[in-house]
Amino acid sequence: MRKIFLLTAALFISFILKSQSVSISTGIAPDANNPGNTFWFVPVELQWHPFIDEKFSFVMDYDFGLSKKSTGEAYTTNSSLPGHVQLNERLGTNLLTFGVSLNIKLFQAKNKNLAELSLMPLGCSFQRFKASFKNFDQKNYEILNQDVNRNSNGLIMAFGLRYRFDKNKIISINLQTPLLKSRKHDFNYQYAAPARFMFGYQLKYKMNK
Amino acid sequence: MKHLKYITVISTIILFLTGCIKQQFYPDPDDPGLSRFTSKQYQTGTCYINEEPYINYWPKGVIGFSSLPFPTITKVLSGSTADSLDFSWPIGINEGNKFINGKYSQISLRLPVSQTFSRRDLASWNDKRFGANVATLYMDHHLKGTANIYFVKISPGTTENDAWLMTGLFDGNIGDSIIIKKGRFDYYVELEGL
Repeated sequence: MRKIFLLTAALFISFILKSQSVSISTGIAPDANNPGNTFWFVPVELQWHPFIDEKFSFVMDYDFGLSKKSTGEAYTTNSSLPGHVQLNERLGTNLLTFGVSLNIKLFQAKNKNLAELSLMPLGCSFQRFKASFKNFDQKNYEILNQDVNRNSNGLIMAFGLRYRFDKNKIISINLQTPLLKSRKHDFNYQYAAPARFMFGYQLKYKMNK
Repeated sequence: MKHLKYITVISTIILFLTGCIKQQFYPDPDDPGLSRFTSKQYQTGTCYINEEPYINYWPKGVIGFSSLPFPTITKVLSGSTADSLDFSWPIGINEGNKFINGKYSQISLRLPVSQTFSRRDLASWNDKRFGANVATLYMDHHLKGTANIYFVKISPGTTENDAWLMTGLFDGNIGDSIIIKKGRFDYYVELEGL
């Protein structure tokens, strides 16, 4: 067991020593999979290019969900209260995604500006959905088709376009699929699929030869 | 002989499809043991009876399809000027996803209606609430008390023989001995005598 741990640690250190650059990007991302009920995210993406040619990179995205207002309907049999009331609801969802991205060069200008296609054939994503109701009389009322807190995880795919300019600045568009599994019946929303529009900076800490 | 084959195949398919109406139980995070209050054809109704969670009886799988225990709304003729409508279903206890018999086996909610009460009148009960001064509760056919019932959504069937989809809330009591709380249903309901 100790040998496996040491071997893994050695491999990890050698990867870091060989690595060339990391990039960090952020921006805005609407959810493309809930039309009419769009969630918005602030994505933060970290990409680590372990090799000189930058043909593949390890990618980690955290999408901070912006809180969203909604409404819920609640009912009661208690005849001394209004039969039906509308509730104010707050919804939020956060995503953590990671995987390996393949980067395919599309063109490179003379000034070394570079456009590339990035493909993540398979990644892992964790989605946390939160719902809460304000001023809800839980004793007397029942919410119809209530949204409940839920953690989901599964596989995803992603692809995007990336343009590097001025040596180390990056703009990118990236579209991620929803979780590649069927949604549970009682969940009132589709799994999120962020379309990320980002600006970033690439830090090269080992210059290409 | 050939016809018999076709009839057998078609009947099997129909019966299989009928048996595919599954009960879906999604726990209510606020009320342990009860399903959530839904309008999604989950064929589930739950309530607390003396603080114990009860569920409507619905067998699993395709076996038993010929006698699926759809909740029923029956027009009960009294012979006088006023009749009544009896909304009833068999109940038991959901223990670890297994249905077991509880102390009580049947709930009936009864509402007075006129002799001319029709399906159209029933459809107009969509989003209508009835208080304890109107509704009567029967447990196991013979224990009698008062009830509150709210038909939140009623979706009539498209043909005469179709079951109606109903979503609502109910509660009631029989003195201090039986108290029903937090009742909710999301059913296909068969109509009889209407």
